[in-house]
Amino acid sequence: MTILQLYLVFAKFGLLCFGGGYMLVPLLTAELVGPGKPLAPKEFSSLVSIAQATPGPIGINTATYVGFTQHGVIGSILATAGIITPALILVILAIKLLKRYEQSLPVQGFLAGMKPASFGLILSAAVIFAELSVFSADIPWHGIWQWLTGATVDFHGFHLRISALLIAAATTVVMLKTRISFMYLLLVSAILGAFLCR
Amino acid sequence: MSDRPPQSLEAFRQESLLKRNWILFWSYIKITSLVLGGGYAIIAAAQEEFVRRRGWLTDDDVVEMITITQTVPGILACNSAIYVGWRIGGYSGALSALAGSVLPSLVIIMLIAAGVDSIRHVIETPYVQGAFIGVIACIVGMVVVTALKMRKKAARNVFGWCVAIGCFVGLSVFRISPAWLIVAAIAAGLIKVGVGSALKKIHPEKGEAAQ
Repeated sequence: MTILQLYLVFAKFGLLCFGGGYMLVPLLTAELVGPGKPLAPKEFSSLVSIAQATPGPIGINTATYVGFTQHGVIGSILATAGIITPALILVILAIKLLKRYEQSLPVQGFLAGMKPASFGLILSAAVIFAELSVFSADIPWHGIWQWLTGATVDFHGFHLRISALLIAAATTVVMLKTRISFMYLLLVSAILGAFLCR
Repeated sequence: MSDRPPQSLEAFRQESLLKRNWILFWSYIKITSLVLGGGYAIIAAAQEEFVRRRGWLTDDDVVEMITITQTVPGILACNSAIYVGWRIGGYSGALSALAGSVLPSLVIIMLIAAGVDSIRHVIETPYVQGAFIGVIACIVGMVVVTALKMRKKAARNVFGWCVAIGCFVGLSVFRISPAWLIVAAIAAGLIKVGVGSALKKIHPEKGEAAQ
């Protein structure tokens, strides 16, 4: 894969990655993994686990890693530049268009749907992050439903981490009541977590 | 890690170009190097930094930021950096915030890819994994606060609540891809506004009620 191809392939991912990084893994698998392609399946699965376990956006982590395997540091930078190029143009365009056509019916309709949808998706994000911290596993919705309808269900492997719950609750209260920088809250949470959530 | 009292947006705009871009760049470096979990976590952290602490953007801007960030294709975290950077510092601000949002991952992943395996071993120790759980628990609180701030602006009527609850259940219980939920929500919004305006033309009073 040449440097230009690398940039263009990631620019394409940037353009197709709609609704966040969730869409990225299937796209990457189709384009980059397999015989004759840049990544072996085993390499790809280790990449996904690294991308999830390190700070920063998963899409950027992936672009950097794949770029590096192809062309070293330059490859990393170009793959990352590729994945963010479409957004740079489109986000600014979207801000301007929304302002200009604020009163038009299509924009009104778009906002009427998207504003509450954003709220619902952000709330879900809280649940998804809770499943990675406050709970030991994904919430067993199916099991809960069966339990509510009277069946006896074994919630084996699913439990509450009290220490993580306390960190989450304390963060919420402190953020609502003070203007302390989130940096301190993150650092304190990391230290508490290192000793309490092992 | 300095934590000077936040200045007002007017005072910020009086600073030199270099300083303004540095502040945006550095803020995003801090956010993306400490926040685990990708898009939504970084959006919540941006809300924390630029709305709650600095007061440079309003709750309405957050709703707009999240709406645009999710509709436009791309990495959520970078889209939010472009939005915040552009609103606060124009084109150069957008580039600075964006550069800040990618630099920490670029460096960490390059080191890992270059085979600095000690980084991976450090990440895999129980203390670091515990610290990650602590950080993500903190992010749960951050995301809840962001959602609480959005509630009044985003779900103002029965229709809004239906869409919001639909998206919430769709993603957190049924794990439907956000892309589909977003398409469905936009379609519902267009139908609702279209029907409302059509009713208004036929029966002005009823149309008013439907709004």
